[in-house]
Parts: sequence; C-alpha cells; structure tokens
Amino acid sequence: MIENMSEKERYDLIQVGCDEDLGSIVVTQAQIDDNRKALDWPEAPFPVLHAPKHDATRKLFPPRVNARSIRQFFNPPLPGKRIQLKMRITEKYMRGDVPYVIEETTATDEDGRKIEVMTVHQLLRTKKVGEKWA
Amino acid sequence: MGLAVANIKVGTELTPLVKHMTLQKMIWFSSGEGTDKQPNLHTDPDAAERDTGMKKPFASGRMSLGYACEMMSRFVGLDVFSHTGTVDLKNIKLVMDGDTITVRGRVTDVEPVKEGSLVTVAITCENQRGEKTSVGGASAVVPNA
Repeated sequence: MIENMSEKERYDLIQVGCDEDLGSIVVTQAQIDDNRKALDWPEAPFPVLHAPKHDATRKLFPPRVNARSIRQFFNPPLPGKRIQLKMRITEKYMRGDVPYVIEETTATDEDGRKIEVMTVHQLLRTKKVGEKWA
Repeated sequence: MGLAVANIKVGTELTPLVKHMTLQKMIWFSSGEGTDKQPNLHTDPDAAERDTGMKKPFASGRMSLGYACEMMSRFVGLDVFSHTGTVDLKNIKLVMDGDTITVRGRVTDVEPVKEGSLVTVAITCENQRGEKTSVGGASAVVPNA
C-alpha cells in the first residue's frame, strides 16, 4: 500500500502535533558499553535510546537521515531501568522540494526521572544524500 | 571536574577533541546493543547504496553530537553536563570510515540564571581536510559555587 504511494502522498499523511507512545525499553550495560566504544569515550552516559523504535513516520519513509539533532540531558539512564519513550511530531517542512519532519522524543524512566529530550530533523528523501555526495 | 564559572568568559576556547572514525565504531553505534541490529545505511554498503545512492556507509550524525558532548563534559564537568547540557548540531557533510574529526568550541555567552550561569558554546566539527562536517551549539548551566 505505502509502496504504491507517491512521496507527496506519504508526506501529506504525516500529522503535525500527533503524539505517539513508542513503548518502553530497558537500558542494558551492554548498550551503554557499545555506545562508549563507538564514541571512544569511556564515560559516555547517554546511548541513543529510541533507535530501535519504529514510529509512524518511519513506516511511511523507512530510510531517513538525520539532518539536525538536538539532545537535552536531564539524568543519565541507569542499567536495568525501564524507560518510557513518547514522541511528538512538532513540524514538517519542505526545503526546496525536499521533505523533512521534526520529531521530539522524551525519555522518562520507571522512577519518573526525565532522562533526555531528543529532537531530530529527518530528511525524508534519502536519495538526496547520494545526489549531493556520491 | 570542569572549570569554575568564574574562569569561563565569552571568547574562551574549549580544548579541541580529535576523533578517528572507523567502520567498527559506526557498527557499534548504529547496529550494536540498543539498536534494531539490522544492516543499515550507517553500517552496510548495500544498504547505503539502496537507501541513499552512496557506495559506502557513512557515520550517523549523532556520533558527532556525541563528540560534542564529550568536549562539553570535559569543559563544564561530566555531572554538570549530564544534568543540564544541551547540544544542537546540524550535519552539513558526511563523515566516512577513515575520517579524522576535530571538534572545536568557543564560548559565545555567559548568562546568570537562577541555578548558576548558562554557558553557551558555538561548536564546529571539521574533517582532516578542514571541511566543516557539523555546526551548531551547546549549553550547560554551571553552578556558581
């Protein structure tokens, strides 16, 4: 169904202001360790928490590329704690003829500690990357 | 332990941070624990070509954001940054396997707030050719005492 829709039709289906419950994850020490190895920073406290979650926009545009990321930190996540992820689509826009969406995800742990708020500007036409840089 | 706020002035340069990008680090970051572990445009040449037209995978922009977090944490202290820090980076050029990224920061504002001083820093990431790969800013609230 989605595969047969044009880019514009899929873009038009994105609802700004829409809240989405992405469910929960449990942060593991292995996740924290992989993030530390990747960044070559032994103390790195904040792995990316919502990477495995498939939100509604990802269903419309399976590959996306982050054009801009904003992370606000409140409390480092603790291994073993369940973390709830809630996302809001705050805006969508065309830059030239290229579509983008802005998503804001808030992570809060089972004790009510706010972990972080991550806002990403997602480039939805990912072939644009190759057109510019390949 | 970071700098005391009395020593932070507009124009203060942060100690630059140098990072070498490898495919293994990209894989740890984008298909390690906590991800969906599927080959993707940050880890796999076929996925990169299918999804973007690039012949090779390229690093997630969030890795550069992580580098900026480390630089800020060294500047204001890990505990301060982990509770009050913000980083905002726009990705303007791809970072590839083998690139060396230098992160630089310069204080642009120090503003008194209830909990201390809000320190704002302009940030740039450059590759080994001197090309900017990410630009943006960061901030943290540094206690006065």
